[in-house]
Amino acid sequence: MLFKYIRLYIEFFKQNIKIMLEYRADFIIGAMASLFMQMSGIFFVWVIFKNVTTLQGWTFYDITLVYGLLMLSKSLNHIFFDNLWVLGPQYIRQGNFDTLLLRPISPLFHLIANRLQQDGIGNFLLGLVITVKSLYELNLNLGIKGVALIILFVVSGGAIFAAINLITATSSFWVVNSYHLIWTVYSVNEFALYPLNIYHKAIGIILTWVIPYAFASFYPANYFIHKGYEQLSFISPIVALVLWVIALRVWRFGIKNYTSTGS
Amino acid sequence: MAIIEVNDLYKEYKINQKKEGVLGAIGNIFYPRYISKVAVNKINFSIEEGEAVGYIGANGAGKSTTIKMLTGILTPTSGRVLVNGNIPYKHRVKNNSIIGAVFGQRTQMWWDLPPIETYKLIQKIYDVPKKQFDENLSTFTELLDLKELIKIPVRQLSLGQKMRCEIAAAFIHDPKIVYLDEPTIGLDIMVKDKIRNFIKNINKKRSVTVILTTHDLQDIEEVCKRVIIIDNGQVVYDGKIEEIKNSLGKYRTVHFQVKNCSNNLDNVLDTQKEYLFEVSKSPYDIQVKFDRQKITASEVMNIISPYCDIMDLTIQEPSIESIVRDLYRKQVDNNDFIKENAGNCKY
Amino acid sequence: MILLKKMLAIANINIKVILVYVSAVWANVFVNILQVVILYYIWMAVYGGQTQLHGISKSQIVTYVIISRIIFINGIVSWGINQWISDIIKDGQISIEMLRPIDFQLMTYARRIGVLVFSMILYGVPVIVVSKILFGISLPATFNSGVLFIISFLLAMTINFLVEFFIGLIGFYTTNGWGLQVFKEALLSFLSGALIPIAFFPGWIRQIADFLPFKDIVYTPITIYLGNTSGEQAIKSLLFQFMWVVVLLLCTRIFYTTAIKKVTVQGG
Ligand SMILES: Nc1ncnc2c1ncn2[C@@H]1O[C@H](COP(=O)(O)OP(=O)(O)OP(=O)(O)O)[C@@H](O)[C@H]1O
Ligand SMILES: [Mg+2]
Repeated sequence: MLFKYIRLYIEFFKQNIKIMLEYRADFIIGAMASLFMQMSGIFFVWVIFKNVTTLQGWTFYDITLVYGLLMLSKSLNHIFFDNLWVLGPQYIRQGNFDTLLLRPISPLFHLIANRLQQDGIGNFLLGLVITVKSLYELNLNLGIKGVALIILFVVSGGAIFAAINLITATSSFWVVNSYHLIWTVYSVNEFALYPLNIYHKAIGIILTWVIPYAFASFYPANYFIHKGYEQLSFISPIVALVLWVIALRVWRFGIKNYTSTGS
Repeated sequence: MAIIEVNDLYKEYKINQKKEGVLGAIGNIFYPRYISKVAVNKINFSIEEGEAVGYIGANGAGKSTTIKMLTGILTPTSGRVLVNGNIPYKHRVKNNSIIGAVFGQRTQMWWDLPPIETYKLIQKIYDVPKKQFDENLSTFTELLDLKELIKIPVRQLSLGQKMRCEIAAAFIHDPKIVYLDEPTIGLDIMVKDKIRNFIKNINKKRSVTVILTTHDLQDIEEVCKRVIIIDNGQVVYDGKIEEIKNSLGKYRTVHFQVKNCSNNLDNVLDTQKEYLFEVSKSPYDIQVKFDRQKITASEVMNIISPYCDIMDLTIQEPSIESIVRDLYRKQVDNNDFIKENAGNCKY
Repeated sequence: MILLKKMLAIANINIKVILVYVSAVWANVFVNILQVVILYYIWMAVYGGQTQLHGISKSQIVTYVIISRIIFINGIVSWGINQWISDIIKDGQISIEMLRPIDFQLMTYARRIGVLVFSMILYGVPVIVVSKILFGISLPATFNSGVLFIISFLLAMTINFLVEFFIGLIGFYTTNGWGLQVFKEALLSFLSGALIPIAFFPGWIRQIADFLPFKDIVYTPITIYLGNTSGEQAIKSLLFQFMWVVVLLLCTRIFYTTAIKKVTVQGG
């Protein structure tokens, strides 16, 4: 069963690559534009550190590690789960969701596999460069175990992003314009670009227990640079798992409410 | 056992009554007001394996809603659908693997890719053995004349070309049942013909069960032996297509554009009452309904032409809508429609 | 007067369009306040125990963050104006617009001001109110700074419009309007001082930013507001802004004429 889905995903993946190659120019411009946007963010941190040496005890590379980890998680979500953003306008409003319901495979799988978002690739590479550079500058000797952990954290982070988007995107089954709800909740991730301890306590609590983007950056980073929050590092995968269980329940409930469109 | 069993199937849509203006929009969020609209009202039928059934009715009668419940896209409000022993919306994977579907207004193919890529993906999704897939593909390519089309990205295909490819996509995995919701909408005669022949062919040779909705009577006449007529969410007729054709479908209406009519015409028409019904007349326009099994159009013309200068004429076949209307009228009268039909000739 | 009426009539179209998107308003206000909150905490961490950095005090930086955000969302985020300019030239609609008894650039300006006023009311005011409650925002340093700020702000929005117009014309030659927009926003949010006051920039970057007109969109008006630029210095800043308006106006005019020629000669 799982095997079949993996095989199918590869098939979808191949088709998506074909589409991507057909729109090559768009691919380059899209990747460049989002790359540029992220670069201006990291540039901001750089300029700040031209004026101070530490930010509440965090050095430049401490912060770029947090930043880089979040970018990696975020771009995984961007590349592989981007279709969730258009569930409302492109699938439900136009009735194209019908097609997904006619296949002998999970409609959610079908929805997600249907699109590969090229724009995220540039960000992924930039995130990778920033993370590796930060780890290097921080003189951290990771070893195999460390690398495996980073991969686990990034994948969990991507899963956290995807699950949160899935929950908000499912609102498309009821409301006409879900985009703004998805966007509003999603935008909270910007807090997680920086160490949580610079904010008011309430913000930390929200990012840990309500919209837990901090598990995609801050807590995993703490595993490598010990700033006193290590005890929560390891639960990133558990948070991701719990969120997906919730998201799938919400999704199932949403599908039951699907009313298609007149035709 | 029948392959499709429908018992007291009922669907009502909840429609959010939108209020006007900004305040209304805010009010909507807190006090949404719903009205419900019954689309399918306790219908019953069963379909045997290998049948080709036409499912017809006026716009908004509830055809698409029924099809969507049969395919499992929609959950019924109440009642039961069993397709090959499965409840479609519950046993989605099991049910979907034995069905194919075409919805006239939308595509199941990847917009940016050529149809052949969609077919290949379908092969993977449904686990179609390679040999069987290749066989189907070459048969369908020939029957539907797809050779050139399947390599062009879908977005560059014309409506008719797209529909031919779409039809192939619905059959390529050898489904037991295929649902076709208005597959000929907006197509020209040639393409319609190709598609009808294809469906007929596959239905016969492979005994695929076909359920077809359309507004074109000819689609049904050529493909289906049985027809179910639905109106206002209720089944008003379920039986052989011949019976419908013989009783209601045998009428034609002629419109004459006329000049200089003599006064005798009224008397003449009166004497022909047995053959000509529902005559309506104005100085420049005469409309006559006749039974084509009893009298031909040219005979009708011969009756009228001595008394008028006929400038132009058109002959109308009955539309599905008018047949349904006639049927419905009889239902309200609470009479068996065949009997009623005999009486109909008298006025 | 007639001109003003015309401008209002054109601007009016946009009010309706904007009002349709009520949920967009809430989302936008939320996201922008969130940005203010993040920047606030970062700056608090940057200042730490210090009360002054680069001539900007700890309380001034809060005001800076809030006002720069307001200018950013109403100015630098173009609300589709430059996309509209590219589209209208590309699809040939421009020939219809040219038949109207009003100059195309002036009409676009009116449209832009209309968008500005309403995005100010819908997005700007809520952000100001919430930010004031959360962090406090100081009034202009003196009465004079207040008056000069208003002039400077209007000049800033004119410069911003001319930059948008320029980008719109570039968009006419390329296909990916979205990429161009993102590029512009990223570049301008930096060089205008919308993210960090120019005073914080290290050496050579600071020289580049000082030389370009973009700092006059955000940094210049706010330093006048805060009273860090005042008296003769402030007047000089305004003159520089005015000079940029003239220069950019000339550039866009020349560019516009060439682009139009291309449309009318080749038929779009
Ligand atoms: N998604 C929906 N939400 C609300 N009402 C709907 C929806 N889809 C259909 N309806 C209503 O249900 C009724 C039946 O619609 P349906 O689409 O089943 O008709 P149909 O027989 O397929 O008509 P047509 O020949 O026009 O395609 C109509 O009154 C329609 O307005
Ligand atoms: Mg229909």
